[in-house]
Amino acid sequence: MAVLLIVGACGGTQSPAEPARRAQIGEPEPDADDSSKLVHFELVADTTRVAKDQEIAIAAHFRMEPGWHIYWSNPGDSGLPTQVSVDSDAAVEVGALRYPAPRRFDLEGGIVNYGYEDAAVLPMSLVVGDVSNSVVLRGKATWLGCREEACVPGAGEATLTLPLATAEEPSAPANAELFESASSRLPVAFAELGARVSVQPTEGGSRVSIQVADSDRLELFPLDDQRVTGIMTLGGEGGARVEMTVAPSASGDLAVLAVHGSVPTRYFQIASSDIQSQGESR
Amino acid sequence: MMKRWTRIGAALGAMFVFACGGSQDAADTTTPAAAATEPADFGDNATPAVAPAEGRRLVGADGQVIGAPAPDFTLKDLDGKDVSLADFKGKTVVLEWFNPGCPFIQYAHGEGPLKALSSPLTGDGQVVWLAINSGKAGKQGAGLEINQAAASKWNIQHPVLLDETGSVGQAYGAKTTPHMFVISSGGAILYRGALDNAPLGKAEGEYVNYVAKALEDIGLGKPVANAETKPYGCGVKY
Repeated sequence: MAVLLIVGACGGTQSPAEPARRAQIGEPEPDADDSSKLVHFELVADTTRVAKDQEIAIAAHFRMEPGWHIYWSNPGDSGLPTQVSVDSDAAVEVGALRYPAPRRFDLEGGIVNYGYEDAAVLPMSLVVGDVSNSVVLRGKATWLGCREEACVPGAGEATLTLPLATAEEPSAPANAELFESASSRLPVAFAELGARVSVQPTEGGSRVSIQVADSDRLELFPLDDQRVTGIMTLGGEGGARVEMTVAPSASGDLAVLAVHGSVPTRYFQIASSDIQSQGESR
Repeated sequence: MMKRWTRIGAALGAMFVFACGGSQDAADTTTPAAAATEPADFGDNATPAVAPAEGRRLVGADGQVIGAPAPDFTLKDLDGKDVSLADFKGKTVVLEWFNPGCPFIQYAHGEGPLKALSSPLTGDGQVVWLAINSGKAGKQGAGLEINQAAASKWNIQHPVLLDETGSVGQAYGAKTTPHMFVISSGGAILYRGALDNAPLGKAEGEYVNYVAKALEDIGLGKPVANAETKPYGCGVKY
């Protein structure tokens, strides 16, 4: 009991490792003491200027040096989630950070990670309130940059200034490609897929099987891999199939399903309610 | 027996106070609470209860059972001496997956919760800490000299064991550094997962050291309330 309370009382005061104290004892990493050289962080907006009562999209844009990756909201077996916060003194409201579907990294020893290589665009909504001046946004991000043989924690700050649109200088779209790259990988509601779902009660929870007729390959990214386990993907007659075991305690969003096939890959967010409603209807 | 466990609790407490800059007031105010908890008595040869708390899964994500026998192993320490899990029968054993090149390990031993961990615990003799490096030869943090340098730099008193084939890491399903396992005096895995809820010292909410909590539960003869958490850190460099 004493241990917990003491630790709790001081846990918040612990500071992250200073780069200077992070002396590499393993193989020297040429850039290891300067994580900003491995992962670049900036804030971007989908418009050049803003107006009162407007909703726009902003995003945390990460660019990684070749071979380095950062992590999804669920990093998988190791790693750390990439985190971003944005604030402003202006009358704006920043929406939740959204994580586009990741790619899977298979490391030696059966370690599976989920993250982003080369670049990542994590969008947020921005509702502009009653503003009379430029909107200055301050972003802070923390991440773990890794490649096969090494990991380096990083943190960055960035500001983005969005001037007010005027009659002479109206707003124009910006960064369309970046936002398109993110939105094409943002999952939509699972109900839109119209997949066949069956649910079998088992000892460790519900064994869920999802079959998609017009797909040749499915990929499942668990949002919580303590509660979504035993993932198996199968091909075969009648399309691709994926199975997972969902713990009884699981609630909310469970996983992101990637549906590969002849058309561009589509992404769907599976919630526990999708499983329950299917189970009841059978 | 009860007295010994109380000492371990005090040692852990002292360690964490030290690790975060000394807060003697906090230690003093928590002493009555610790004293008020009556530890269950179990004999020197008894194995603590292994049943997980109500509602917890018995089987881990990879089919490994919490409370199952811990796989035995024999590995060489940094002096080339064989160390086996079986050597410590009758004692609680903590396994820490280790890689001195991993920033999470560097933080934990350099300035975080594992700084100066070993001396109060090994001094007591009831809890044995073993660090295991399952990094393959040539990968980050692998090799005798690198680990000797790390043990000396961080004043690690407990054995650091080299598992370059990765077979012990695979037997335990070790995924990260640090991935922690707590093994009962009877040889059952009672906890596995993260060291704490604060990767690189950044806690989400109130700080909890899961290993310290598991040791405390075991010391009180209680089932480990939080028997499995998701480990964080670098991937083990198999």
